[in-house]
Amino acid sequence: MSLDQSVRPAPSLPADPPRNRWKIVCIIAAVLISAAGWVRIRFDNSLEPLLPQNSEARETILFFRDSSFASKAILWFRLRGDGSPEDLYAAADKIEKHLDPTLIKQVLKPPTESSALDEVMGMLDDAGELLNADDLVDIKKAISPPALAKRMRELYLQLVEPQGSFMTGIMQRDPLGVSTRILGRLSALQSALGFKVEVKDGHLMNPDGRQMLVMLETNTTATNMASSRELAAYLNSLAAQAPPNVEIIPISGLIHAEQNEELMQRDIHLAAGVNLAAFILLFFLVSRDLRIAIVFMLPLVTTAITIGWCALVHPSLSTMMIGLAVTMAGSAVDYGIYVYTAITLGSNLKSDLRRIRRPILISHLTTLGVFIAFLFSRIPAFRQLGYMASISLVMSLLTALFVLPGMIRPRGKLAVLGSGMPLQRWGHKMFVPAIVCCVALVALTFAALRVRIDPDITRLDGVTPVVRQNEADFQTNWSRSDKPMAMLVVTAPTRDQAEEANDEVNQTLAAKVTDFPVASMSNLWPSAATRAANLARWQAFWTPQRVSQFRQDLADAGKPYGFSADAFAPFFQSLTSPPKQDQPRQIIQSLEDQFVSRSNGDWQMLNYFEDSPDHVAQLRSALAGRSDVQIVSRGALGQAFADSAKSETKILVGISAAFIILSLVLLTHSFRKSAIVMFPAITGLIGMLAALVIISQGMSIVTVIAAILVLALGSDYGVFAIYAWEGREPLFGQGMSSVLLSFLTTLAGTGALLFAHHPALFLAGVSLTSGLVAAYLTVLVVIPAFEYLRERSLSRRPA
Amino acid sequence: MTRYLKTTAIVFAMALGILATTFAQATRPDDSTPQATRASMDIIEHVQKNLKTVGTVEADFDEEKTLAMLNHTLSIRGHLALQKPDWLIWIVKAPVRYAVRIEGDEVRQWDEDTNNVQVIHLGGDPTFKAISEQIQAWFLGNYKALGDSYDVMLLKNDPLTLQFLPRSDTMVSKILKSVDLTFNHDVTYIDSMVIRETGGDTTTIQFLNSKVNQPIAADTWEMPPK
Repeated sequence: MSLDQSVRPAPSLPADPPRNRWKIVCIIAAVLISAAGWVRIRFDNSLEPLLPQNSEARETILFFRDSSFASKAILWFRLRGDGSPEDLYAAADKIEKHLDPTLIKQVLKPPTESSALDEVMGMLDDAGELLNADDLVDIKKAISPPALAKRMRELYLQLVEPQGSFMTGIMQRDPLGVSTRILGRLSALQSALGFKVEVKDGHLMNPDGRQMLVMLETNTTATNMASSRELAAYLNSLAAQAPPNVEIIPISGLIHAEQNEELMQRDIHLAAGVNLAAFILLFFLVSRDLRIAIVFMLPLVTTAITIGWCALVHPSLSTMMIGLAVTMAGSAVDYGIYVYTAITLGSNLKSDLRRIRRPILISHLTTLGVFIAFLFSRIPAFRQLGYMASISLVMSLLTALFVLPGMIRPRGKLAVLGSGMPLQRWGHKMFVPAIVCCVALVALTFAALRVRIDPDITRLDGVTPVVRQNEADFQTNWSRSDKPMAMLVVTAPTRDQAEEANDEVNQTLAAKVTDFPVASMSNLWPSAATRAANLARWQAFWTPQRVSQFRQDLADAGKPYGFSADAFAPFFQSLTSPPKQDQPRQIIQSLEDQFVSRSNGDWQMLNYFEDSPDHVAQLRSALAGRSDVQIVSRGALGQAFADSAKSETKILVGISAAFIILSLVLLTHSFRKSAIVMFPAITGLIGMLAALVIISQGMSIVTVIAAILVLALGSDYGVFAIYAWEGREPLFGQGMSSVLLSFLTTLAGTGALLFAHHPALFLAGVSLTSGLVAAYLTVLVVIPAFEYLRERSLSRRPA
Repeated sequence: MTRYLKTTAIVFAMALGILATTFAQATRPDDSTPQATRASMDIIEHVQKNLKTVGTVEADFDEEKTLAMLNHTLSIRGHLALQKPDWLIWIVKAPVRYAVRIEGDEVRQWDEDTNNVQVIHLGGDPTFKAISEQIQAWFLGNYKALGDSYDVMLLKNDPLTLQFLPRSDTMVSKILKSVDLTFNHDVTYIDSMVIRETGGDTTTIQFLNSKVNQPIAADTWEMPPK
């Protein structure tokens, strides 16, 4: 059905050339300024803008983005079927020979086996530098004659043990059994990393002998998406070069960054395509008149202009937020529809425009309130959405009221506009469906009440199932336990400062945290300043008199067991020899690959501990007040995201609901009308939450946006529905047509996201679509039925 | 990555010490090292083939350690038992009483001073796995595998005596100079072992009353030892 507007007389149009020129100048200026913004715009496809500012979640993600720790990549070699470690070595050697130096800085090699023992023994010779004040206290106790007698018995017993012969080197360097603590600390550092790796023939092997790792330090960071993409492709090409009996699997955080980027871009393009197709289809279904296209294009044009403006201030804009802003732009199509119908159906343009200003203003303010609430968010992406959508809405309104009337000609055709039965009759017919809807609403409410905040951020990770499976397999095959590790990161501008700060942190932890170990380089190889202090303390302790006395006591204690006079000569030599500064430090360098990193010019010392809420809480408490310390914990990150989602929901829902209710009450002067206007918003939220429960998802940062948008659009629908009812309009009159077209245009955008493969975009699609469908059904079915019942009951009351 | 570096010396000491207890007989080898030639693959394969049939070994042992740390030769007497796939007990009876039992992933140690059985679980520990692999390799005569880390020399044909020289690029070479194995006439088990360390210390182990492929009494495995 259509209403041919051509039979109606054309209303008088404003024809004031000076005012039109002013408008044209404004439009051209707006477009030019926007174009300048579009030139410098950068699309940010990461989830980083979704992280609350100054939050732990943000700091954690930025650590992974910026730290050189994240620039490492692993090539995981494993045998297919029969094969030997030599096959793995050969495959690795072949790959290593042809690595691209522009992408791969170096292959991180374990220390050579032949030099490792010398270095370990060398550490015992450097005991003076590495043993701390507490160790010296223990040494003081150990050199008493009774303690020495006991110790000599222990050493004798060790010589009798099967491994005894081979421990003599250690015994001679450490007669007191204190220096060997250094070896224990070395062992603890390696265990703390949580991976089971053996060094065999200079390779990092799995104990099963069928798997091997090659660690690569890349020239890429997650911030550089182009190089991440190039590296990911390169790693895949290396994997493709594997011989038939060897499989090579690349493992890297950069693959996540690259795949998220690629998937989001693909989804955005797909959604844009579907959205455009739906728009065109909708346009041809309802009009086929290009002049009416202006009405549909209005919000898209204003959004495009706004994006350019925002890019001038903040060039890096979240792609996801741009997508949502464009999607939400569909909601502003009702302004154009309202103005259009005023022009085509009315007889006096000025009075008609005055008549529609009130519902448009209420609709505008309720929606605007929501987006203004976004400006108060701690999440940068939400603020971007707030700016883009708010400015776009204001611009759409101003354009609809002041520009459109001069552009639209009244001879267009709009399908179904003005047709349909009277809303009162529709309300009567909707009585039974409304009951069904109410029953469904109750059921959905029960489902919605089960929704929970989802702390699992990996659900928003758009990595492919293959990569996800590879990482799970890697964890299974290489992890020492199923308990994840977390990091305590100490940052400072210079390496020395970072190491000294790390020493301070570890001294604090040694005093305050005793329930669980924190593996730190500081425990084995502290800062140069601490090593110097240790050495000074050590040298002050071993005075010539004390050395002489100890030598005598040791000889006396060893005599019953036959220890020779120079049995412990290496120990006494180490007391008089200064530490060797020029000896190779392959072990320390190897450890530094895991325990030291760089980030934006700063140095970071990484300490490892078992990830648990209790451990994180203890560390936070012990290190409260230190601004140079950061805890990087997957569990804490998930909780931080959940907390952010919760607090953002409170802030945004609170501000927007207050804004909407206040503007409704002030503009409608009626609590009943306000309640009806809010009804679709509430049912929309219930529908959305129920849908999340049905698809086994929880509330997250993404669904918070969706909830707020459903709130805005639902109340928008409510405004037009109530004015349509009061205006005694037909089912597809001015108000309900506006709602329908607004709903369909928005649905075209949100529905397109249902085709997205990126979990964050898909979640946004499901949330928005379910919420909007529930809100629209409320407006179409429930509100007319309620209003019909209300009026019927009023009419039956005695006067 | 540097897991193996922890207590490197201890690990290799255990590995070599334990394997040293595995084989022996009452033949004391010559103190002087005879002229050595590289052992042919035929000889190695012959030894492997013979030792592959071994399922259990039980023997007394006499061990002499000449250590720079001591001003006398340390004489140790004891008993050992080994059973496929991964059971081993080493009992020292003199000059002190001590025992270590390895059963799969579990290591139990006992000594007369503490009179406590210390239990260490080394499941998944690559170093322990390395020890087990070494024991398996020596016991089963998997000398081809050992050939990756050692050069195998033929010292004598009768009784067959092989010398294992650690390759210079291995960590073992920092501890050991050589390991000499002397087999019984039928080459079904090892009579004696001489371990020479880089520091000059020497350990000689002779096995007495060796029983091969005989059932081992259950109480042999008791900890503390009976």
